[in-house]
Amino acid sequence: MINHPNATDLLQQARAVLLESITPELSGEQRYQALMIANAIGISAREASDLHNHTTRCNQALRHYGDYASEQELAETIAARNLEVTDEGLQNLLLTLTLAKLEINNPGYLQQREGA
Amino acid sequence: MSNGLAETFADFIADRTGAREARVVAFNKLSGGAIQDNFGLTIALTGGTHSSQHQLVVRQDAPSGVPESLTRPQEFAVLKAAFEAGVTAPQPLWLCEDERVSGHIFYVMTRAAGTASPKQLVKTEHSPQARSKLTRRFGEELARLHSIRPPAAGLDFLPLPQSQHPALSRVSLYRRYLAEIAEPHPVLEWALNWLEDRAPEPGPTVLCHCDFRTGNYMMDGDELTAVLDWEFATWSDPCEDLGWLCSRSWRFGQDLREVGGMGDKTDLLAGYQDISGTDIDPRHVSYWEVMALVRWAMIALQQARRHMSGEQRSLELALTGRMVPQMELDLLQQIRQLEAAQ
Repeated sequence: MINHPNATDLLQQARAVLLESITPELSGEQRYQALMIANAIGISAREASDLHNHTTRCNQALRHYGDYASEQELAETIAARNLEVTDEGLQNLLLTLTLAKLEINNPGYLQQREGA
Repeated sequence: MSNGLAETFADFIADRTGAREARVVAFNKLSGGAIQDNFGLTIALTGGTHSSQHQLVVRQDAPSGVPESLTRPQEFAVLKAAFEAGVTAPQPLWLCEDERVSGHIFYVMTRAAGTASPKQLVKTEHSPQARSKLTRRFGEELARLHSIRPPAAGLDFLPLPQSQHPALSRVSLYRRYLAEIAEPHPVLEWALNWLEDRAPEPGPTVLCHCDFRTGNYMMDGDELTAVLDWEFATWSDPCEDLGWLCSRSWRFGQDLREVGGMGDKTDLLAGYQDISGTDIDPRHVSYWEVMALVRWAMIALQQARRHMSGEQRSLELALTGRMVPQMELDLLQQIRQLEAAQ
């Protein structure tokens, strides 16, 4: 059992303090480092909060497409050239897996590309 | 910043130039360079072959490298060949292979004016004419570099592509890299299959920079002042450099400007044609843009491994590993677009 607030809440608040109170006072290399730390905290907060849902969604997509037990099995099947490059279902599955990772790692990039 | 290190470099330069005195005017570590340490050094020399004040850069090994990266003596040789071929690059001056001098092998080159900051460069207002001229200039610079072909004196350490087919040679290399990484990357496996199936006939084998992109050249106002960071140079297909420069990864938010967020591909290829006399097929450039996305993903995976293995613990390297899905999304979108255009 854990106390509350939970890890996601703590990380989100730590990131807010870093970006709102500390980073504006910094410049040069220190500012760059602070922004990297904020980025790392943001990824960690989203992973703590969303990883379980993303994993469930990806596993369902893997099973639906070809009854794959894992992303590893899919990667091995592609590497063995047992799937056509142009297979639309495969491309949609790969997109689902990639979007799940991007939602944790860099949701801003996703919005930028969707807007492009 | 260690004054001792600045004095060490100054003493070395005095020795090479025969200067009676070498006074350090300014010394600082330059930003960028996850693999190499770069130092800015302003030095006043009295006597000898270079008696005056000089703005220099000293480039030496950081704690570790990546497999594709050249050693400093190799990089020095490539830079010398490029400079002599008329590429706008820093002039390589002196190489020190004695690690007892500073603790690392290093070399000294001239320092170009301006900035290499990609975010600053893509945001700078340029007239349409200046933008077009600059983009043509990129093509001209690459054409001059690509005039260097094997065998070339002093560059025999550079490996030739397997079977004279740089694209398939790259596919094979990246499959080996991917096999060494425990984490599954089905998108990269899929993209490698596409690259294998769609590989065009290779162009001539030429000296490629292999990292010529926005962020690795200096500009002062509207003028290109230096092409930097030669550590990945090797023999390859001319379109590898053109595709890398046009890759979606290096447009820094200016996606409609295909050439590094700076200009249009037609200007790039026109500049290339002016100097080389070669008409490049834009479809081949698009193919190598896909290769560029895979290569950047491979580099990012390797950088994350350097962090995770303890070889070089670094937040920057760790975060680079988390960028791989960005390249994977771009691969999915770009390959779909290219297939639809078939």
